Amino acid sequence: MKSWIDRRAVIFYVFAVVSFALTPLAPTEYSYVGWILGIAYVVLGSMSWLDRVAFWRSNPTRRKRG
Amino acid sequence: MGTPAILLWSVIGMALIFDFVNGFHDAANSIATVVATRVLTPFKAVLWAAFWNFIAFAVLGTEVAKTIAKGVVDPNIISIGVVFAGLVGAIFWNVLTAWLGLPSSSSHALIGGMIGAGIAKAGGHVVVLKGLRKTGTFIVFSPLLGLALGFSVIVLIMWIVHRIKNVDRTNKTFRVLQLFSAAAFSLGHGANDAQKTMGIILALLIGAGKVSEESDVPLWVVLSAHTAIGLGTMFGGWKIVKTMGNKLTRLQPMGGFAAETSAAATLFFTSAKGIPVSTTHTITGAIVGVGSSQRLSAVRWGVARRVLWAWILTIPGAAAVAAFMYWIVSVLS
Repeated sequence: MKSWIDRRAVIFYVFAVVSFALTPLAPTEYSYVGWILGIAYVVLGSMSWLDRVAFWRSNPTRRKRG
Repeated sequence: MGTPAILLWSVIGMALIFDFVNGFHDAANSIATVVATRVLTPFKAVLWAAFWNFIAFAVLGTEVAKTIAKGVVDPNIISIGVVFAGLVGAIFWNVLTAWLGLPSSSSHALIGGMIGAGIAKAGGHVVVLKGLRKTGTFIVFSPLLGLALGFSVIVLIMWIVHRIKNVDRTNKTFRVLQLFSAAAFSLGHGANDAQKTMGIILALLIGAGKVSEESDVPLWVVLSAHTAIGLGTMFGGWKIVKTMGNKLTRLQPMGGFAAETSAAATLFFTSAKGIPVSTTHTITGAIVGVGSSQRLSAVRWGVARRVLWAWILTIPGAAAVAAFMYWIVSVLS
């Protein structure tokens, strides 16, 4: 089960949370930067996770080794 | 009574020395990837970076300088003593981190120094909260922007080139392209960092009544700041080159190109918007983004953690030294 956890995706999701959390602190004219960054990290995290899942499904030998 | 000219010019000279030290300290950011991937020798790399640092004055505006002059502490309380103490705080922090081989931020050291000296003179209310929010949030946003762009650009490049069988030819192409990405990054570095010194000098000139609060940055200030940072880059700090180029993650020409292009895009955006960011934070984020596209273990997280601590400590550290320095100045005068 542990092999399905993508550490890179987790880090990207943490960065997304940080970006969203900082958005209210930014001056109004720059708050869009926080939103864009947060969304970008959610997308990057999800893509990274999907890539990991696809890799483990297409490489059963690596999967067995864990 | 006007400000004695000799004092004013001495502190302007000191601001230019800070700019020189900034170029010296941050030279590594501009050339680390080019040197690490052996595209240029260290000597040629510093000459290349210094040239683009200088040329930056003709390309990007002076919005960052205005933010530093009027958006960190209330310009009405800025005096020679405040700028002197702020600069001493920033220079002390820069020299300390350069000696330790830590890629901390000259920009945040300068902002921390100004805040510390300003508070020591007139209390916490002199800090311009809007400017502090802008600078503070982009302390985090700029490396995150660099990292997201670095990761996305390298993934895009790999997707484009993965069908090309000739690896040598691909590497050769990216070695050439890296010259342009290094130039773009040096341009962004010159634009954002030289403007911080321009901002300090503008604040001094406003405080001394030499220019009005609404006036633009005088041309001689622009040219002298870019000359100082260009010369500083030519004498670059080699210990930090090693940390940035090899210790964070090992880079190939393709990765160097992606990291520099991403960092340059972030610096162009922030310079155009008048946001003072750390070039060091930005390129570090971009390098980590490129490294993490391979596997997380490609990034040396121990070094990244040391860098993170340097970032966290920079503003309070420089502010404390500057406040102490202002106290000494006020006692002596």
